[in-house]
Amino acid sequence: MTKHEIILDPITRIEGHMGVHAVLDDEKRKVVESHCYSTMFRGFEKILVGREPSDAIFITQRICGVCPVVHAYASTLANDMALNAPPPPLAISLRDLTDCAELLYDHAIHLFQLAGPEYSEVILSKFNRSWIDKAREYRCEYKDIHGYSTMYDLLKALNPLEGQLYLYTLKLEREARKLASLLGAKHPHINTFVPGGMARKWGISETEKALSLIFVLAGLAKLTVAVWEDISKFLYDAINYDEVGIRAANLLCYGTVDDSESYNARYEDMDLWGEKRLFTPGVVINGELITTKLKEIHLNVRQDVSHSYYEKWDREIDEDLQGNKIAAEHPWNKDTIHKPQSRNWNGKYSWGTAPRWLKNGELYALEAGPIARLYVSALAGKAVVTSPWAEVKTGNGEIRISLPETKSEMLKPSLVEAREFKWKVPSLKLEDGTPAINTIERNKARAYCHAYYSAVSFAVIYNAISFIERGEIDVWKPFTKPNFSMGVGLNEAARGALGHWIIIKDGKIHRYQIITPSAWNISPKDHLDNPGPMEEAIKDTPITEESDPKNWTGIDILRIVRSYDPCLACTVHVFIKNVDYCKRKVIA
Amino acid sequence: MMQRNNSKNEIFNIIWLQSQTCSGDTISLLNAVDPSLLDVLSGQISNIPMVKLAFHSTIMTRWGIDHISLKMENIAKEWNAAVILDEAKEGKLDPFILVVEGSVENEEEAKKAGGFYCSLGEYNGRILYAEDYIKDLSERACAVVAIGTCASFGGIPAGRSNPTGARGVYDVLGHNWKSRMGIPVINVPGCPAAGDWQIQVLVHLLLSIKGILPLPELDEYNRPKFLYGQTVHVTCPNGIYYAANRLVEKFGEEYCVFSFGCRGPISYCPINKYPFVEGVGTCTSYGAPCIGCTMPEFPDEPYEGFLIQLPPTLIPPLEGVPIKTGVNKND
Repeated sequence: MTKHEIILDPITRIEGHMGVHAVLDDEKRKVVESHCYSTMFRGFEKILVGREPSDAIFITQRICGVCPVVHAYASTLANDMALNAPPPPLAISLRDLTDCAELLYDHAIHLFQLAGPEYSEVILSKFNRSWIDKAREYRCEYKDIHGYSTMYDLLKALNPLEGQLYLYTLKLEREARKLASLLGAKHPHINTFVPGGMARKWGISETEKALSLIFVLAGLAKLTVAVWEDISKFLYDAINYDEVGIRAANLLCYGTVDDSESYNARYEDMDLWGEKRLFTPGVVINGELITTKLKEIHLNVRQDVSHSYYEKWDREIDEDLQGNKIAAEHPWNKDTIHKPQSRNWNGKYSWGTAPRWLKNGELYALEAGPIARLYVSALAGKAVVTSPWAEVKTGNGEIRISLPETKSEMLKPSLVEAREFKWKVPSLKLEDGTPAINTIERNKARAYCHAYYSAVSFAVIYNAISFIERGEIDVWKPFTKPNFSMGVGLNEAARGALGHWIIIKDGKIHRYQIITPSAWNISPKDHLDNPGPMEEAIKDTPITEESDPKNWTGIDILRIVRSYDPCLACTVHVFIKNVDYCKRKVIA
Repeated sequence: MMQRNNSKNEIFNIIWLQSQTCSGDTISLLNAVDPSLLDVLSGQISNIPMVKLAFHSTIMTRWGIDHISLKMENIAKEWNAAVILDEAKEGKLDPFILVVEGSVENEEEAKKAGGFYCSLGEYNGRILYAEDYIKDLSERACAVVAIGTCASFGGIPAGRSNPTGARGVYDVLGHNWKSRMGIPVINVPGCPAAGDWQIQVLVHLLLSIKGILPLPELDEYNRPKFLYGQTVHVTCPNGIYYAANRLVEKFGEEYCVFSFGCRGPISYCPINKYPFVEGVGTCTSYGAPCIGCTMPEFPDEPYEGFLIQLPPTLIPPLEGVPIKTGVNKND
């Protein structure tokens, strides 16, 4: 057996700095081993210590310029809880809408500008030439929405910087950031999320402008589903791409988009308001829904640094404010001590840590992302989204999304008609029969999730309008800051489950920990040498490149990596202790 | 003296390096309109040279490939993203403008331990340290532009206690450093800088290099004065409320948010003149306090405690000091 090693670094068209090391079997044309790692470190959590708790809302957003709102949102939830500052209903709706606005560009930019080029005519004619012939003969099912009759035409439209779809969606995505800026004062990095509500004057003209943008963005959502439904079908039917990136369905979702009537920022009520979210929280193990209780999910999170450039830490607390035991490996107790060092595939090899989820003594490497969101909500059947314009129904392993007629000069005529889309839990299985997911399903779920958020944005603005009609126009409530407190903020970034944990002492941030979805997904091995989700998905994957091994570029590995939409700036931000060698020079 | 480049059909390459960054400036760049990034790249603006984005990790089609135990052949080699950086170093991409997004880490300690804080990739078994490439490519570049507060001044990674020794590009190269064309580092701060500000500076710079415009005048922090010449406060539509001492008691009220920490009076930023996305998005007029994200000291004092009112001693005389807070609410 001839094997050789490859390093893919930089992995472009993702956010941030990441590499993959893989051992390839040249004869069997498959991957035998892989390591995923992050290559940038800044030290955010160290920088947060000693500052005002609410400053974390502004600072943690700057972890990631692609998905700042979700960090602001998680940090605001952690602040609300720790400061006992529940917001008024209108503020909850406005926060939710800001969150939707970000997601409506974030899923699209990933599918059309970052991962999309992988499947474009330009790239395929270089690396998978035989796909092109098949694409010429493959008729698209959703031609009436996206306008391309053959797959070949569609793939040409995906070509980076010149394809029609690449350029058209790039323009529409700007409308989503415009909506986020309308609510957030600017985007990236919004200025309006504060503990206890929103720092935003909001009235009729703002609402009208937002609603108009929401309609335009629903047009983009229809396009996204149509394009990716057809690409997925093509990859299954014509290419047999099923095996690439396959992995058991072990999934994590914290749920997101709070219900403005139920959310009260109280730790003791977390399970109640968690289950009212418009995306349901949940953990799926081997295809089975284990729980939808947000507090149970939070209490069982663990972090491991056996293969990361950090050392072990001392615990801070024994229990939470309700008397639940808090493990030493739980993020409320974590205090990471960094140690840059040379890379060793058997030892330490990443700036990322290994988050795991504990159930009955077993540690699970759970995967986060749009597929986890849809999977959980489809199995749980608890999430209901209603509005006069759009709705979502969940349950029995299905999600039905209906989007309204969307007339706008921004939109192609084919995107005007009202549409209904249905997503089903994938029927994919591993050899032993375990329910599974793969690269195709991750991207497809992202497209449907985009449509789901689009429907949610209608429901959320409808709520906001109702509050304004009833005269409930307060966007903020005052609160008194305690000396000691703890908080947790869990929500969903575009890439999946995002958690912020805060401990306040003497009115200042004492500890702050963040576990991002990409930290779950690209995590290195843990102390039992169990791989992270992406490492597992890459291992054993077939190589479809139609060249000899010396010319391999690792594109199948990249398709797997990008199907997770990794965000590296998010992954590595961690706390360091006792390093103060370069004190900041004050310039002014 | 700046030597100007008058040749007609020259292509200018842009090498966009992302060091310790969140990529927020890149996303923000996509917000720019009239011209947009694509207008510039597709040559739709008269009088500026053809521009090619030769390296940009978030946007480019190619990626890094390093075969360890097998000699790499043509396709893999020519497709390799990391090669572009070495070609630029060797002068093969001249003339080029180096754009840096993100603060520059100090690798001294990490290198001693055999590690790194920020790598741009790996090629021929070498780690491409961001710090090294910024220094090396600056020597060949026509001009160096630091986009965003991190690249300009260090930003949040350089916030107390600055775990990685992060700092701005001009802190690394020297505040008086000049490129081979005699141009100092141009800082375009903002967290992030709005896309329109970025494009305005880049297009202005290209026109200057071509000899059509003089170089933009810079302030003491190397920021172009045409953008950063006024404070948020001076351009704020709520300034009149401040003058009348009408400050908000609760978020969401119509008045001035100075009482909730607004740093507008001490922050130089064009957001009120050039909002974030096609005229949408300004901080203070929407009722959100300015947090001073364009400023060299951000996120440390006097900006930290973003929602806590600024001490009167820090307010410049021009703006005057409100005597009381939270009074004169219309009721």
